[in-house]
Amino acid sequence: MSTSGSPLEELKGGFRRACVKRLVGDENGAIEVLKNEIPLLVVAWAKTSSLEPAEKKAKLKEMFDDESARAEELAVAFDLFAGRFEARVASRVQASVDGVLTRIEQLSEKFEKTLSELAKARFPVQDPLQQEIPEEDSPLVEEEQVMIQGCEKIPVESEEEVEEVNLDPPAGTGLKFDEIEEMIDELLSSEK
Amino acid sequence: MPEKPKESETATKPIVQGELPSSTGEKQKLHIGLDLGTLQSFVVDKLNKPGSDEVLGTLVPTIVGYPEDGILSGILPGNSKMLHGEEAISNELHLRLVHPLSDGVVNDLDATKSFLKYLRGKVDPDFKREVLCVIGIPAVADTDAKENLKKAAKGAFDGILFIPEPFLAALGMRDEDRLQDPDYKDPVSNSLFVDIGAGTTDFCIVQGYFPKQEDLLSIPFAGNEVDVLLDRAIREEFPEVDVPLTMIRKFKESYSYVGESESGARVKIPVGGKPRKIEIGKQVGESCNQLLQELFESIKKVIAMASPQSVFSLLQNIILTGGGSRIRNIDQELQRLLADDGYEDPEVTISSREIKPFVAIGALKVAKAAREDQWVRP
Repeated sequence: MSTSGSPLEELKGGFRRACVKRLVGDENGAIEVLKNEIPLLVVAWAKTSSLEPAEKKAKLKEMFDDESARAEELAVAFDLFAGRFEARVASRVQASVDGVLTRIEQLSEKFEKTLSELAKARFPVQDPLQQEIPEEDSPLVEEEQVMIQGCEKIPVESEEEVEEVNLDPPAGTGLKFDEIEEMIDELLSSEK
Repeated sequence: MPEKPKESETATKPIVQGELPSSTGEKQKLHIGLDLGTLQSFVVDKLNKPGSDEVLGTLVPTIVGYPEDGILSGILPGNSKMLHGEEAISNELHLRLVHPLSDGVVNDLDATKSFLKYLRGKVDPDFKREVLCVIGIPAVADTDAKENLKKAAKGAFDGILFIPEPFLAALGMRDEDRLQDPDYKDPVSNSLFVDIGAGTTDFCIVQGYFPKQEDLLSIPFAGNEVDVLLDRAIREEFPEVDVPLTMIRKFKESYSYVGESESGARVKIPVGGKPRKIEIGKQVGESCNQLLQELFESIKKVIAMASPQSVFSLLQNIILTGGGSRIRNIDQELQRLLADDGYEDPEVTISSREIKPFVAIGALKVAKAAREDQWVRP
C-alpha cells in the first residue's frame, strides 16, 4: 500500500486496487482491501476534508464510481491488447521460438552423438589420484609430480552406468523417441 | 533424410470451394492426433501445458447410425440422414447402428468415411483449414487395412500418417518437460507397453528406440471379446434374459474385475418388459479373467523376445494402457500370475486411472513433428 500522497489520493488508490482485484477475479483480495484498508483511508481523508457529511458521502460514491469505471476501461483495453497480441505477435514469437528450439535440439543431438561416440571409444582412464606416487628417487621429474597432484579427478563411469551401457544394443529401429521425423521416414519407406 | 521444404513450398494446394484462404492465400494448418478405436475414438488438437493434467480433446463413440426406413420427419435431429457418435447412440431406437471399424481396422468403408468427416467437423467446423491428421493403427495392421483407411480418410483430412498405436501410446505417455528431472522415470527407456483396446490388445517392448514392426504383437482379444463372453455367460445362467450387447458392455464397464470370484454386481434388466435384478458378479469375473489369461500368455511370448541383458528391468516396467487397463485389479493379478510363474519381481502398473488419450496425444506429437513432405495426401 502506498503511503505517499494526500489522503484523497491514497483513498482513490485504495478504491482502484479493490476494483482491479475484482476485475482480475481476485474477489477475496478485493473484499480484503474494502474491509481492511478502505475504512482507515476514509477516516484519514474525512479528517482532512472540510465537506459536510452528506457531501463527503456523495464524494466517496463519486470516487468509487470513477475508479470502478477506470478499472473497467483498463480491463477492456487490456483484453483488446491481449487479443491483438495473440493474433499478431504470439504466432510469430512461437515460430521463432520453434526455430530456436529446433536448432538447440539439433545441437543437443550432435552433442549426444559425440558423447556416445566418446563412450564407445572408452579409453581406459586411470584415476590419477589413485596413481601410485612415485618414490623420491623415481625418475619422474618434479614438474610431472606437480601436474599429477594438481590434476582434478577425472570422472569415470560408475558401476551403474557401465551396467546401463552394457544393457542392450540399440533395439528396434535404432531410432530414439526424439527422432520422430526419422521414425516416420522409416515407416514410410517400409511401406513402399 | 530429406530436407524440410521451405515455407513457400508447403502450401501449394489449390483453394477449393468452401475453403477460406488466409491473407497470404494459404490455408491455416491444423495438426490433429486421432486414436481411431473400434468402440471409441479420441481426437486431440492441443497438447497440455507443462504440469497440467487436464484432458484435452474430444472422445467420440465410433459409431454411425442410419435412419430406419419410414421414419417420420422431425424425429431425428435436423432430419439427419446419418448420425454419429453420441447423437447416434441417443437416437439408437430409430437408427440402424453401424460400427465403422472391427478389430481396429475398417469394417465398413462408407461408415468410416462419414465418421472421419464427422470428426474433422468437430475440430474444424467450417472446413476452412488444412487438417493434417496422424491416425493410430493396430500394431500389425496390414497393407489392405492401411489402404482402406487411406480411402476412408479421403475428403476428411488433407494429410494423413498412420503410426502403430503402441509407438503413440509410449510417446503420449512421455512427459518431455520432465526428462531432466532426476526423479522422472522415462516410460520409453525400458518398458513393455500393453494397450488393451476394444478390438485388439497390442504389446510392444520399448527400450529407448522406436521398435521394429516385428517387435510388435497384437492379438484380436480385447474388450469386445469380454462383452461377447459375458453375454454368453449371462444367457447361460439366465436363459430368459435377452439384452443387447451395448447393455452388456455397460454392465462390464461398471463391474469389471479380475481375480477371485466376487458377488455384489446386481443389475436391473428387463424381462418381458418387467424389471428384474440379477446377480452377474461371477460371470463378469469369469469373462474378465479370460482376458487376463490371454494377456498373461501373450506377455510371456513378448518377454521371451526381450534380450537377456534388459529383461529383468523390463519386467519391472510393464505398463497397461487402454480401456481394458481400467478393469479392477488387472495390474495386481497380472503381476501375481507372472510372479507365480517364476518371473523375478515383476511390476505391472496402469498408465492412468483416468481416461487419458495417450495414443491421440502421441499422434499429435508426431503430427507436430512431421515434415511437410512426409504427409500422405489421401
